[in-house]
Amino acid sequence: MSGGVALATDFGTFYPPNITPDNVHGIGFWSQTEFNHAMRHGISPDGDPYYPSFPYTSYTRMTDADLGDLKAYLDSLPAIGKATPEHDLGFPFNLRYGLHLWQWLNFTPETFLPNSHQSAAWNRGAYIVTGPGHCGECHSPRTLTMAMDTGVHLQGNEAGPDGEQVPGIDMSKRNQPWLLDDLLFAIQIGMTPDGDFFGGSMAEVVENTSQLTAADQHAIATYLANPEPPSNP
Amino acid sequence: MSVKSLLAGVAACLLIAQPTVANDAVTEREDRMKTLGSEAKTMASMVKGRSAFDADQFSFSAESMADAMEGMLDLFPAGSHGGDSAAKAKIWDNWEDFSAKNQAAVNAIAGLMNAADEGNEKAIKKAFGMVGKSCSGCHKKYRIKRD
Ligand code: HEC
Ligand code: HEC
Repeated sequence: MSGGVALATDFGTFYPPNITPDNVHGIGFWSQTEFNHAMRHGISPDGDPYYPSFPYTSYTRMTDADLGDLKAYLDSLPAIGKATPEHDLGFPFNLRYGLHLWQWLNFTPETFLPNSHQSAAWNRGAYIVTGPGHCGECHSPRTLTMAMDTGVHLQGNEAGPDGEQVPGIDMSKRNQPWLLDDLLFAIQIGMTPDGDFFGGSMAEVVENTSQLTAADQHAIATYLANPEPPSNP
Repeated sequence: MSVKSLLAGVAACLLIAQPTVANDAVTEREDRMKTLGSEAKTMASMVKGRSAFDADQFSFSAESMADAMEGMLDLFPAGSHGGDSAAKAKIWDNWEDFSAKNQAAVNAIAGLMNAADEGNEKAIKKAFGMVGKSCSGCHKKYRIKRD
């Protein structure tokens, strides 16, 4: 947890930066309230907003119980007084778009309302994409208040992070939709149907999606083939 | 023609010549990358089951990839980014790492060639996945997004 120490989860093994309870280099000084507040509202214990790069819009879907479990888990780790490498910002800044650690833990999606007309795989995919995977952080346009615009969910974003133009991934809106296995290849090895490989931030995303279980990868692809706005299940 | 304008002409040529060398390298490496991509596509369609599995085709494609990788690093002269290139400037600040990522791809392709020669379908598909990871591994850090 201080970098280099593996954490095995249902979603694979991760080598996260220092989020141990160490008071100097870790997050030991955070109370549960501060922790929840940071996660849900993007406000650090110092009152600094993490806004807008911190994906708390997705994290609000995490329940109190999830956040309590997560904090308890992090607190149970041995504190390690080691700084994260320089290029890393401290936790949770280093969860750039949240793709580094805990959102991949297998939280119970209590705040997620399953759609009974859809398959279990579709619902699981919807949960991952709209919740912990927060694909919409980059793939959905943002309104002026930086809230994700769920009306045009996953339909692309002209002004993504780092000025990237992010393509839409709602395959039901495409003339030539990617097929299920195209989507699988994309999230497993970062490959597009024309044999190209992602660059930019999506390649970083694939580092994580490639570690998901086959069932979860399949669920994501199933959902992307025909998603619906999360507000309208 | 005055000496002055002659000199100006020579200077202009020099100014133009410099980026042209880089442009040639950019075009050449993009062509090589396109070859890698088209071979990857051919192989992926077999892995996806859209075309019949053919170990010989894997051998052929892997070999073509190995050829395309030959001397790849020479096609990245210092500072040849910007313009139409999708290469990131930080390649040259991290040349050792960039070279290592290049070598990782060369090795993965060699692994795929071996697997293809042995002909075991499962091993071939796995080796293909490793090649894909090596492509992603470099693009992740050193290539801006596709347009
Ligand atoms: C940090 C921003 C970011 C996040 C988060 C993100 N993506 Fe992407 N995604 C991109 C960018 C940028 C591209 C274009 C990459 C390229 O073309 O090289 C892309 C491309 C894609 C594509 C290919 C679309 C196309 O037409 O080329 C798919 C599929 C995709 N992403 C799925 C996902 C899924 C699933 C998630 C959530 C697990 C996700 N993305 C999260 C930035 C992001
Ligand atoms: C050592 C780093 C590196 C490796 C390894 C690598 N690439 Fe690339 N690739 C790049 C860079 C950098 C660019 C952008 C080149 C430019 O535009 O100047 C690129 C561009 C591309 C392009 C777009 C070419 C174009 O201009 O249309 C394709 C396709 C591609 N790579 C496929 C692959 C495949 C397939 C593999 C694996 C077999 C691979 N690459 C391995 C660095 C790499």
